[in-house]
Amino acid sequence: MTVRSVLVVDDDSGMAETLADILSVFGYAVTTASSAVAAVRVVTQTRPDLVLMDVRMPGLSGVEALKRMRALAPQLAVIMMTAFARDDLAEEARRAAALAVLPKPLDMERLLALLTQVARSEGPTGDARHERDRRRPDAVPFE
Amino acid sequence: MTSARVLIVDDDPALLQALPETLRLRAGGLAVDTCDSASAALNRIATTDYDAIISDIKMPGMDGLKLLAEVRALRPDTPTLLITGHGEHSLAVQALRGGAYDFIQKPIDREYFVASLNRAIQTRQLSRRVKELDRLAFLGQLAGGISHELRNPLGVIKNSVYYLRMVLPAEDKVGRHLDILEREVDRATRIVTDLLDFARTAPPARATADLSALVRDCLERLPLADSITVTLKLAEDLPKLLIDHDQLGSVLSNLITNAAQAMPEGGALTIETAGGDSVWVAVADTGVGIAPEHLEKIFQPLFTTKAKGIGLGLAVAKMLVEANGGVVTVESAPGRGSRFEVRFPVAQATS
Repeated sequence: MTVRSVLVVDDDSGMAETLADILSVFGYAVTTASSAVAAVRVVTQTRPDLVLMDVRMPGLSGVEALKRMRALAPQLAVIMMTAFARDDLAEEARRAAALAVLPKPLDMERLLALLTQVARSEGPTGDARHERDRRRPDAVPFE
Repeated sequence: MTSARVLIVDDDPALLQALPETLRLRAGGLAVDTCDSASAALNRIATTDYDAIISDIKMPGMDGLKLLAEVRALRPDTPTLLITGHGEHSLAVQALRGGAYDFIQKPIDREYFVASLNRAIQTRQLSRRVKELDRLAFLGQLAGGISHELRNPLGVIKNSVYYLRMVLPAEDKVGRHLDILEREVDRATRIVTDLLDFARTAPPARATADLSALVRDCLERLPLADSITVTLKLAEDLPKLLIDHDQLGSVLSNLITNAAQAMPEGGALTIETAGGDSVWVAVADTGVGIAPEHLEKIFQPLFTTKAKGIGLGLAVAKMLVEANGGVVTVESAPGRGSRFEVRFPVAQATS
């Protein structure tokens, strides 16, 4: 599976919007959700390839959402983000088999590399790779 | 109790001479001030935070009980021992009710006097330490809370800069302003990380380490101005230490960065390691130095003499060194330079 669609979940709308815009430039089809409950709903309805989600959000936490998503879609790739250097919830997220727990501010290179790695480890399909590369602007100074 | 300072107040010149002499003989290392009246004592107490006060009760003018009341108001944590005449039980009771730590009866039993004073000083120093820890815990919580709150907005700004760099043509001015934005966000993030380090009470992840190797690693990562001449006197085959590499690396970077900042016009940076009864590393500069009155404050959180900075670097360094079982000390001569030394007991070294 190659990652093509990403769901970005953060109660901070600035965070969700900037991440969505960046990932879109790289050719990912991005949707956003501003709460864990909304995120679980999106996963139920549309099954994105990957979820990028904040650990701590008001109401249902990201970790709780991660567990519910696992129940719904056991193979779903989930990357968590946290602004807390030492976070019990982040630990819990690791135990709940989050692909990675990234500290905020995000290291964008690392995130993008992770997204590509998910694709490789799951076995990339030529079409998807091609489509993503085609949509990637030439001016991007990466890879 | 080597650093303790006490004040003795008595109108009787004989006692005012005999008591300090007793303390010199039986409680060495104690700094003793004397006053021959309560009013003179109050002036001293206003400016000096004594570890204990010893006062005669019967004095002309303001007596010991009135002095006690003033001390209780001015320095509620300072223990006061009052000297009463033989058999003056009611005065002794008044003293205790007034908040005296103890009373000493004349003729003075030297052994009892010294023992009581030692207890008083220990109590005082303990309560001071508890207060300091409370303050640190509070600052830690505050720092942790603030830095977490700042990480999100900083992250959003960083994302925005990233996005703009991708979609905007990298023409001169725009590119430069994006660079500036990125640099400043990174700077703010580093400050926030310092705050988090300070707030964090992570126990050290100890592993065997070679202090000289840590110094070399650290220097490799730190860009120093060409105007700074670096001299390394690193001992080989030092006993290995059991310490947290990252924490000690962070301490060394901090000391080296401070040393460099103390020499804005350039100078000599000397880093030395040695082992014997203990293993130590010293970072010395030929910079501006530290004023004597600042010397004991530089490890306190939020104390800074820098034009820029929030004063956490050395506080964090001290905390990390102590968490790893070491001690950090400083010597400095204004205008000539400073020397910071981090020392670990050899018991902590492995073979």
